[in-house]
Amino acid sequence: MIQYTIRKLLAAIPIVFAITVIVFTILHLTPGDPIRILLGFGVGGYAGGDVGDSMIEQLRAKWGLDQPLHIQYVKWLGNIVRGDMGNSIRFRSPVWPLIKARLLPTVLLALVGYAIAIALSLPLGVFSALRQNSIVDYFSTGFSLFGMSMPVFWLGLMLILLFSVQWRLLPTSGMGDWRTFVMPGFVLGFSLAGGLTRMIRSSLLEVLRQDYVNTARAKGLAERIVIVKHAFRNAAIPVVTIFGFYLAYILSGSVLIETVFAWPGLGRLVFQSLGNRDYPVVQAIILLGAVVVILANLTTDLVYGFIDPRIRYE
Amino acid sequence: MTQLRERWRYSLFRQHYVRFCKNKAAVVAGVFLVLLYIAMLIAPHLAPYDPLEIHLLHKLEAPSATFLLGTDDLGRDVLSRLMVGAQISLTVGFIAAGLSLIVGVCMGLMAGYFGSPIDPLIMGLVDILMSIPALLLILAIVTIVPPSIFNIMLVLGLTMWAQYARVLRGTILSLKEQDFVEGARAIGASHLRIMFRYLLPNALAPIIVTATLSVAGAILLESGLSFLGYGVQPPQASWGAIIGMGRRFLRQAPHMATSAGLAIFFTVLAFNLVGDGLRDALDPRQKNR
Repeated sequence: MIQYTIRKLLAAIPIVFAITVIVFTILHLTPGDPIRILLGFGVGGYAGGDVGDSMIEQLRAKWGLDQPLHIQYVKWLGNIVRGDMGNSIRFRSPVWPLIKARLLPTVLLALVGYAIAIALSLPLGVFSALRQNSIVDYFSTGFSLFGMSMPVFWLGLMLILLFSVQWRLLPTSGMGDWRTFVMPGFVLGFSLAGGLTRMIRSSLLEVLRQDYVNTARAKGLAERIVIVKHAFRNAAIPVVTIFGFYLAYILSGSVLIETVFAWPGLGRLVFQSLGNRDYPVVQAIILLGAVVVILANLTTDLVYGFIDPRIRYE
Repeated sequence: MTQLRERWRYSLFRQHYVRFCKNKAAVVAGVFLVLLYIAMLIAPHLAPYDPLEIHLLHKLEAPSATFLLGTDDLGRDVLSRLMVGAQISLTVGFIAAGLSLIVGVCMGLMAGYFGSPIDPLIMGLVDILMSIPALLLILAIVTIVPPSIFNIMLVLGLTMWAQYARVLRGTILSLKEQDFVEGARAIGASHLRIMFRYLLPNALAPIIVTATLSVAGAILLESGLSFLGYGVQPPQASWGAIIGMGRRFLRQAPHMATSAGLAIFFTVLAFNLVGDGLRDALDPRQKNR
C-alpha cells in the first residue's frame, strides 16, 4: 500500500513538471507588456507618454523580465519548489498571500456545490435505478440532461433576475451570510448534479444485474439490505472515480460562477489577472489547480482500496 | 432493386436506424438540429434586420411586433444577432469537435495499438490535459493568440481530444487481441491498414457517441469563453457574447441574456439527446447505463 502510494506519487512528478513547462510557456508568449499595462498604457502598449523608457527598463530588470525565457523559467521553478510563487505584478505583493486570501471562498463554494450536487443526485439516481422506467426515472433523466446542457453562467444570471431583481430575496453578489451562498452554491451544485445523477443511476443499474445481487435476494435477504449492503458499495466505485475530475470541472466552472456573482475567490482572481496580464498569479493558480487535481485523482485511486477489497496494490 | 431492398432490410445500418427512431426525444432533437443548421446557413436572408444595423431610437427595447426579441444597447435587433450568432457558435462547435476527433482518434489508435513506449507518452499527455482545468487552460492560450474564430476552434480542438483518446485506447486494447487482427497481420497488412481498416471500424460506436457529446461540450465551452469576453470579438457576436452583453443590462433589458441563453440551452440539449439516442441505437448493450 505504502509502496503503491510512493510509486503513484513518483509517476505524478513528470506530469507536474510538464504542466509547469506548458503553463510557463503559454503565459510568456502572451502579447501585452505587463510593465506597460501596470503603468496604465493599456494592452496595445504605445511607447512614450510621460514615463521615460529608462524607467520601463528599470522596472523590467526589477521583475526579471529582461532575462531570457529559459532562465526566467528555471528561476521561477526553483522558487516554486521552495514555496515562493513569485510576486504579483499588479498588486506589487507576493502571490501566495493573494491566493491564500481567495482560497477559502472558492473552497467553501466548492463544498456547498458538492453538498447540493449530492443532495440532488443521490436520491434521484438511486430511485431511478430502483424504479427503472417509472415517472421518477423519466424525471431524473430529464433533470440530468438539463443539468448537463445549461450554461452555468446563464443559470446564474437567470437566478439573479428572479430572486434578486424580481423578488428581492437574495443578494446578487459578494460573500457574506448564508444567503449569499444560496445562488452560487445551487448553480455549481446543479451543474454537477446532472452528470452525477446519470453516473449513480447507471452504475447502480449495472450492479443490480450482477449475480451476487441475485444470490443475496435468493437467500432471502430483505430488499433493503440487498441494496444497502450489497449494491451500494459496489456501485460507489465508478462514482468515486470521477470526483477527482469533477474538481477540475469545479475550478473551470468557478471562473464563470465567481464572475457572475462577484465571488471573492480564485476563479475571479484568475479572470482579473488575465485581464491585467499578471502572469505570476495566473501561473500559480493554474499550477495549483493542476496539482490539486492530480492529488485528488491519486486519493481516489487509494480510496478504492477501502471500498473495494478486490483491488490489490501490487 | 429487390436485391438492394433485401440488402437494406438486413443491413446493420437499418437496425441502428430503426432503433434510433424508437427514441422519440432523440428524433425530435435531431430534426431540431437539422432545422437549426438550415436556418443558420440562410440566416443572412432569413434575419428580419441586418444584425449590425444600429437603431439609436430603439435602444434596449423589450420584445415587440417590430423587434420580435427586442433590441440591444445599440438598438440592434436581438433576433437577427442570435441568428447570425448561431453561425459562430455552431461552426466553432462542429469544427472544434471535428478537430479533436481527428487528433483524438489518431492518438487513441496509436496508444492502444503500439503499446509501450508510445502508449505511456500519449496517456501522459492525456493525463496532463485532463488535470489542467479546461477553461483556465483555454483562457490562458486565448490571451496569446488573437481571438479570431479560427484560433478559438483550433484551441478548443487541441485541448478537447483527450476524451476520444481515452475511450478509443480502451476499445483498441481489447480489440487487438482478437483473431481477425491476427489474420490481417498474417496476410501482411501494414500497421496503418490494420489500424484504420480493421480496428477503427470496429471501434466506431463509442467514437460517434463521444463526437456528438463533444459538439455539445464545445458549444458550452465557447459560450463560456465569449461570455468572459475572450471569444470572437465585436461587432461579431456569438451567443455567449450576447449573454455577456446582456449581463450589463440585466435589469433594463433581461430579454438579451434570456433569449441567447435559451438558444444555447436548447442546442446543447438537442446534441445531448441525439448523443444518448445514438448510444442506445449503436450499442444496445449500453442501454440504460
